[in-house]
Amino acid sequence: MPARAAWIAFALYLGASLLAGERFPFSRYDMYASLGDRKVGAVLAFRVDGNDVDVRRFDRFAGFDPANLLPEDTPCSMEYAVEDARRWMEAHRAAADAPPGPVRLEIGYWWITVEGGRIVRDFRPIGEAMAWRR
Amino acid sequence: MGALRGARAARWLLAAGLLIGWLEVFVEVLGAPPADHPLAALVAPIPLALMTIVVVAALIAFVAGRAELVAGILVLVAIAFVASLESGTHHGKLVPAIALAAYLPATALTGDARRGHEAACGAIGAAYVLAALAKLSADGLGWGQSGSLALLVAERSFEGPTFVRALRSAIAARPALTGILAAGSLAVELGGIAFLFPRARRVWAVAVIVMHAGIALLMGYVYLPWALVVGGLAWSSLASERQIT
Repeated sequence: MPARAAWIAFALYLGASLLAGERFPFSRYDMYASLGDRKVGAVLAFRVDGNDVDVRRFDRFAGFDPANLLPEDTPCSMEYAVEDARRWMEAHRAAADAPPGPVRLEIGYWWITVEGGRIVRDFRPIGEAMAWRR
Repeated sequence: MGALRGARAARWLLAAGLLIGWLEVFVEVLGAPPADHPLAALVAPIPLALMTIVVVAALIAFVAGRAELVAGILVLVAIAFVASLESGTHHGKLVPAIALAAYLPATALTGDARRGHEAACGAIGAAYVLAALAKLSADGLGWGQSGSLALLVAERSFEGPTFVRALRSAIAARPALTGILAAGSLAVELGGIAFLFPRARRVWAVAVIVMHAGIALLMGYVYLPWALVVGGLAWSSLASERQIT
């Protein structure tokens, strides 16, 4: 039989979390549960000459506002990755009077569906930036 | 008795979970300091490093059983401070923090650390049941059966080492398998209530650790602090040997 202290803590934490929501140390532990019944996903991608690249290999970005990295209605479940990229681009903007970098970065999303046991990927660009390799 | 020999292991593992949770939020907050927080000036390397020293010292005191109430409150206040600065809820810190937050008052009120240990187990069981309830309220018992979990794994096949990407792609392409995995994780989370029963704790802890390993591999979410704390509380005790005997 469980100890009374375990039951009390269980009931208190469960009830308080449902009431308080996301207020430390309470949470409803929603995490990825609320993404719902999606049929399409999307993953942010940076491409050079048609190849996916890591945005952290570049700096002094110009020509694209990082605030626009996640367009509305993009079915992306990896906001943390978008946020990481946004922070990187914000922290490595080109100076206003600097010449543009030599690399043309294509920015967009791989739209993804799982159809008949196959992952189907379709790249949809959202913009371009000029950058320098680090 | 195994629990006696490993009496301090639970404290070490809880301290490790708390420290990892603290560092995860610390790094996140340092990377994106909030602009409008009244204590935003403290979000700088030196103040945060000083706070980390205080947190580590308090954790060492807690493990040693010295002034554990004061030490534990210090740790919780420090974690609450960085948690107030983050942009979203960083769940990694939560399970270790609620274990400590349940242990401290239960022990202080009863004068019995064994009751504190039981309270910690109860709060952790509730956290997993809450995670299950969130899924059930979103999609009912069919959570993950419609291909949404396959899609989550497929999205994450774009990141990680080559073999991990290949594994994620292969699994995402098998909806029946992702359906089984989703049902399994829902069952394990609902089984959080088993953590209230001392005899069921180790079996459930094994299931939880396997689930977290699978989530880390397929989704890239590494909830190491959760696994450490669940394992520590299942195989050891927060009560010291002196308190148990």
